[in-house]
Amino acid sequence: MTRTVELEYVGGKVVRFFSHSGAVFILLGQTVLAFGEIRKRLGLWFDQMLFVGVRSLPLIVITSIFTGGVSAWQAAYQFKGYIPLRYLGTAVGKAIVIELAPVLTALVVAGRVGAAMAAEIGTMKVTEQVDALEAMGINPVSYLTLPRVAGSIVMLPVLTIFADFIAILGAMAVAVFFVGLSGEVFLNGVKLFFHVSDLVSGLVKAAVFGLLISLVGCYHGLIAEGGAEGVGRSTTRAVVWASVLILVSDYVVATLLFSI
Amino acid sequence: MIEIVNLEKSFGRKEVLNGINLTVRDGETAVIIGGSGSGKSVLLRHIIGLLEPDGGRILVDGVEVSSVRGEELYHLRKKFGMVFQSGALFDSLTVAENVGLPLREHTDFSKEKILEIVREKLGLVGLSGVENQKPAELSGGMRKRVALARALVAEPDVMLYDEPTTGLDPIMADVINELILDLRKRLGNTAVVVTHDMASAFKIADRICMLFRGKIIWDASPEETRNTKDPVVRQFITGTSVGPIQVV
Repeated sequence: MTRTVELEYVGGKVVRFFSHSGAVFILLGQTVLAFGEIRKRLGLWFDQMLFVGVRSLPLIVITSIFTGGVSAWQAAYQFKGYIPLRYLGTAVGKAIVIELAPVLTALVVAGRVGAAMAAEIGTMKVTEQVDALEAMGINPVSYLTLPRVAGSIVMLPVLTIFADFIAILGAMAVAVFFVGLSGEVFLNGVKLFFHVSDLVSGLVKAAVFGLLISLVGCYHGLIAEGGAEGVGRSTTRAVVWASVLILVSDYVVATLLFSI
Repeated sequence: MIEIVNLEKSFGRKEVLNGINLTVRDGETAVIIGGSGSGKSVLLRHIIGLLEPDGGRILVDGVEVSSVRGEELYHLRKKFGMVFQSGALFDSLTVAENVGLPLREHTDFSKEKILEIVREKLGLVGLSGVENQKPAELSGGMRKRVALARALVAEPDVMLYDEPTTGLDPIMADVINELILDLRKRLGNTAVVVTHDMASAFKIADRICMLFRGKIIWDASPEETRNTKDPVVRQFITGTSVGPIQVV
């Protein structure tokens, strides 16, 4: 009897997971189909770029400085006695551009922007504003989802470029002031083995993360129900799922972009 | 013309609509009364295609609402203006942007022309000079009137009102009633009004229909309704707790 209940519980969770995944893919399809209306949504697109990009910048600056700093510090600790410190810039630079800046920027943006999208659209849903759009003959996917997805796809790579630059500066500051390396040696290390393709790969990842954060945020907003509690639940789920998907897709995109 | 034929809808095991048959003729104002949770708003949402029926069909000018999808459905909805119970104004937009949204979306009018129409419609509902305010800065009655202005800005053929006077003081409720009558006189459109405010129903209706246990059990003129001996309708319009309608 207990085993049946457990199986039903697990089965229910699996069915819900696939049902949500399918619905997110449908929303993606609807967003792609609505792309023809992007010229009509330029104002809303611009607003979202401002919200996702410009207003996230202070947070990205702070997290990137410390991400770069801690990378340099821990790399120096691991190099000690094994690898010459002139390669510190190489290791830290590569790690930042390929992995740390895109992933950590996306996680920070998921917390700030993904949550805000789910909360805003969720509140609109439970207060009948989404129904009002439908009743006026306005497609909510075109009006709400498209500008957010398009804005995030554009601005995540832009934020990542800032994060790359600031994190490397943070790493250099630690290298110079605490490790005892000169700025020139550190920067020469960064330039050594630097490939533009690494930077581009990081930006491709960032664009994928932007798509996932906004799509999941909008989806959870659009399915919110049950008042303030429901909006809270949707917001939490949006952040959790966006964070999980960022890490999973990071692996998938990495295996596609970097052949060993 | 709106024709509702054998409409059925359940949510889980709860049967809300159980074979609704109703016809609303062009230019007519049909008021649907019924207790809270009787399915009045559910019925209204079916008419505009916000909900899909489990059975039966709804025809608007001969087009079956549940059979159209996507762009076709959005096109069909342009025939309607809907006033939601909560107003459903967009918090992030000003009053003028809220009212002008249907015109921005569906016409090529210039900004100036849209603003001119918005001001005219706000004037119709007795609200001038609030164009730049946000919905949060307005009172409940003002929000309802802005919602009314937004619903009628594109001069739709059919107006759907979901509890237009609920939550308003009697004077403001009467202002809304007068507005509904005035709009009908000016635009001659069809209206379906869902309410449990009997003063409002008697004032604005051509016909009063009562929804009870998932069916339309009464369909008559306001005069006949006022004088009915039907125990269910009588209990509802007099507002007594003793009678065939059980309060759960």
